[in-house]
Amino acid sequence: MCAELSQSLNTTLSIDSLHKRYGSHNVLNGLSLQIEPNSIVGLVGLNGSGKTTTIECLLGLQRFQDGTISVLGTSPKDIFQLKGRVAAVFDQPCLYPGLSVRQSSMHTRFVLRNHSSEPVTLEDSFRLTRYRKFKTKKLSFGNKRRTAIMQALIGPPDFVVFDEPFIGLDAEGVEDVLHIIKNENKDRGTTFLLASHQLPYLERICTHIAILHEGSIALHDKIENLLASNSLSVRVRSPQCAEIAELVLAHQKIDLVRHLGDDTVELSLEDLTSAELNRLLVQGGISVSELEVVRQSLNSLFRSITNQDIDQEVGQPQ
Amino acid sequence: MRARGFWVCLKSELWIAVRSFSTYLAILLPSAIAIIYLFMSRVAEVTAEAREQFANVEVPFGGDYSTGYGNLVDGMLVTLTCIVLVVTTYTAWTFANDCRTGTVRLLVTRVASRHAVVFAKVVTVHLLTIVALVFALAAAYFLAGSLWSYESVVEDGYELISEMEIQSEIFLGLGLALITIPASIALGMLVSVCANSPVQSTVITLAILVVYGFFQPYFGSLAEYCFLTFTPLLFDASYLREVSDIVRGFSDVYISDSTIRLNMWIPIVQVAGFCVLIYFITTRRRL
Repeated sequence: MCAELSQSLNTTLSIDSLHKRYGSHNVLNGLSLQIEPNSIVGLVGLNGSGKTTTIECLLGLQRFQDGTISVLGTSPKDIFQLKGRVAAVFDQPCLYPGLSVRQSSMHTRFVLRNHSSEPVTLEDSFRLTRYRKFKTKKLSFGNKRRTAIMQALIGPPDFVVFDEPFIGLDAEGVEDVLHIIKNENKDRGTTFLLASHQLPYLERICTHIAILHEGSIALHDKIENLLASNSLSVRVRSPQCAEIAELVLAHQKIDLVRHLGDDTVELSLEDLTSAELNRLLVQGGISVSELEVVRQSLNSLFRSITNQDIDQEVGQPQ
Repeated sequence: MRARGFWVCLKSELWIAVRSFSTYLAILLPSAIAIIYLFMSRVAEVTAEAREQFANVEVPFGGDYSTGYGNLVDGMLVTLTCIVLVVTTYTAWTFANDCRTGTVRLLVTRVASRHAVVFAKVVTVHLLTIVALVFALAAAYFLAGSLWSYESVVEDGYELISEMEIQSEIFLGLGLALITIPASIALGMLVSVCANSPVQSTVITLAILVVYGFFQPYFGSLAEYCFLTFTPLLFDASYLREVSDIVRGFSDVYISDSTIRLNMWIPIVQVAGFCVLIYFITTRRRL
């Protein structure tokens, strides 16, 4: 019991065997996740995999059937007792429509009893200064998102939970958010949990990645450990793709990942270099038009676990 | 800690309320309706008098039943009906709307428990109702006083009912009507915490308030155990409606002590019941 307590005190977030079902449909099936302080964790998963449900459970917004959750040593239902140390940004911007951008940040400062001039600085950081007198209901979706994110960072919180942080943001907005998350993490040691489909962005800033699949965490590790792999992906363009498939079947060190059109295949090589593959292909009488080494990415890792390309999932409602 | 959360939420609600157009609408609409109603009554009366003079018709019974007090009570009835409808639907809308916009999540995750948020809203609506009542009753009082005059009911030189009695009846009727308002607000909040959207919540609340009047006669004496029977509504049996006749000199109005007691206690009991249900549902619902 003492060990569990000390562990929960040393972790920002501790989820243990979380079970959640809607009616007869099991969404979370014994999900366990530990988040250490000062980390940026990306929570990725397919649509309906339970990312939003996990976030809502850990914030105490909905009940769950079984399991324990500890956020900064506190249970989700008492999360408000942390006095603003936990903040959240949801997929829909949670703003009072009748308040202006400046009033929204004033309101947050008012309820948090924060009297600093921080919102002015944050408005600048989020390029919202020119919209500060606009009512939030009149803002574009992207600017609403910026306002919601700005509001979340007032406090400042120790742990910020983002559900789809990049949705609705233009390229500049995404860069701003990435920059701010990095800076907050570096300067203040703020811990972030980012539930997103945008794997390339997560790859740029996250220290850890947790892949949520079939109701539990299928993989959770430091991003450098996840991306470091013995296997090598190679794309081969050739008019003889059928022959390449036969060669793959005969060779244990080569796996066919997928066909990319009629004349291109993606192969995974285990303890084999691209030059050795090229030699094997030539020896097999297969003409090669192009051979490209593909770097291991979060997307390919995700695909290997879920057997689906996350890019196809983007834009569908969770 | 929980009490602090409640105070923070209450201050937050008031902070938002003073910057919200819907709050001003909820406060000023009943006053505006009272003013319009009294003006129209006066215009209708003057028009009728002119018509009578033009047609050279005698006024029946030879008395003037259009007293300041009578019109004041009518104005109050209209105002209170409006306040009950506006405030109850506003309450029903407010929490459901905060759930829709997600703003309730900001408070629940950062400063206060979900119960503190809900009950801070209930208290806020009570404060707004007090302001709306003060404005509306003051508007009705001054306008009725300036368009008519406040005086006792005299018929054939005899004082049927003194000013003191009139005022005491008005205070009793007003008190019995006002005591039901917290129950109406609690009903609105109960619907709000149960509903999935502000539209659903508002429509259900309005339906309850309006449709109850149609079904009330069928409930018989059981209706006296529902606070809505005593609430000024479009089809109500509130004592204030009887007071409107009393202050005009009609004395064939009877209200039993047991009815007055039920009017005083039933709303309080039902507020408590609604609050327990609100607490229970708020604990369980997804925000």
